[in-house]
Amino acid sequence: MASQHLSETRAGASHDAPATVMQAALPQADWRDYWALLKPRVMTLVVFTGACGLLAAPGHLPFFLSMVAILCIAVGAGAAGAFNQWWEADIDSKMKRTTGRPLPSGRLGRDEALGFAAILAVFSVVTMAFATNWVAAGWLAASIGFYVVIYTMWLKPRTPQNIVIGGAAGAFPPIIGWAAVTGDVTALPLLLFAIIFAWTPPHFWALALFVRTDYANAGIPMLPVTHGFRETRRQILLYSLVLLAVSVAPVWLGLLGMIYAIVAAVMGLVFIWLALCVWRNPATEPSGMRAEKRLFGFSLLYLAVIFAAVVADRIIVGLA
Amino acid sequence: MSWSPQEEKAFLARRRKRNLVIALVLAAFALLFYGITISKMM
Repeated sequence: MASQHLSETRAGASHDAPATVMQAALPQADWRDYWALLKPRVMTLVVFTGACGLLAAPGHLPFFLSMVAILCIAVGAGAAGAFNQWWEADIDSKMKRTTGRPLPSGRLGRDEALGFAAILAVFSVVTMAFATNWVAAGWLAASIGFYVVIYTMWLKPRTPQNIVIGGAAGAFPPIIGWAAVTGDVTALPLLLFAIIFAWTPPHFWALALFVRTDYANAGIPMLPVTHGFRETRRQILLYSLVLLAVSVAPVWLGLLGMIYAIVAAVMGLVFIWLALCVWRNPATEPSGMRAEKRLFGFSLLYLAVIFAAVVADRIIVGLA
Repeated sequence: MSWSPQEEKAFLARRRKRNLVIALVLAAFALLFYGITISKMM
């Protein structure tokens, strides 16, 4: 409503309006606010895994079209992030980590954020269809819809399983990248999806453990808030075991070779070791959660290395 | 009460900047689709 009022004020601004109205009429947001709306750090990971899916796929896509496909994945992820911030503006204003975002800080109106997100979403899907094919565009549209409707609007405020199911939204990019090249989806991109799907809960719960108070204050039912530290740490360990099993599945199925097998085994074992350290940590205050912070940091490295290994394995096998 | 010269100057500068950004975005959009068309033809 506030942004609607502001928009109306802007539209009706004239040179003899009161100074206070004129102050409101001046747009306060600049490009940095629109950029922040895209959640650029999340976008980095999405672009990387999408590009890996594209590089690992058999077949050839011209360089320019590959760049356009990656751009579309990035813009689609940005649109999903902007929709998320539009929907969660009230929640973001209650969390220390997110109060500085453009919407809770008042630099950007909700209507502007919604319009921006919608334009980017349509642009990314239509351009993807035009540059590559409708299969990739369909998966891109599905990933945006899943993140916004299933995760942000439905699961996140209702269930501690929000990250488990909602994590699927972040797992789509390798499928989209693969489909952009081949026009279909086979076992390997689905396994890459499964790796990100199994990786997301321990990654986010490690973070949720040391920012638990933030989530509790905002009323978000994250696992540490609803089931406590002990249960969250147990779940992190269990999902780490699942992650190892899923990550070596492409080797069992003969889809990837020894390079990937060695990397997946080593990285998976380190992941489990760090998850064990978290499981054994009794701390309930963030200051005592070095193990959780270490696992969170390593989980980012883990995903990057695993996906780089997928690409290296496919390229080297392809050259041999 | 009317706009002060500083407020009017700031408003016009922001509007000019916004229009420039829209023009650049439209030009980039046209170039992007031109590039896609050429790439697909090749």
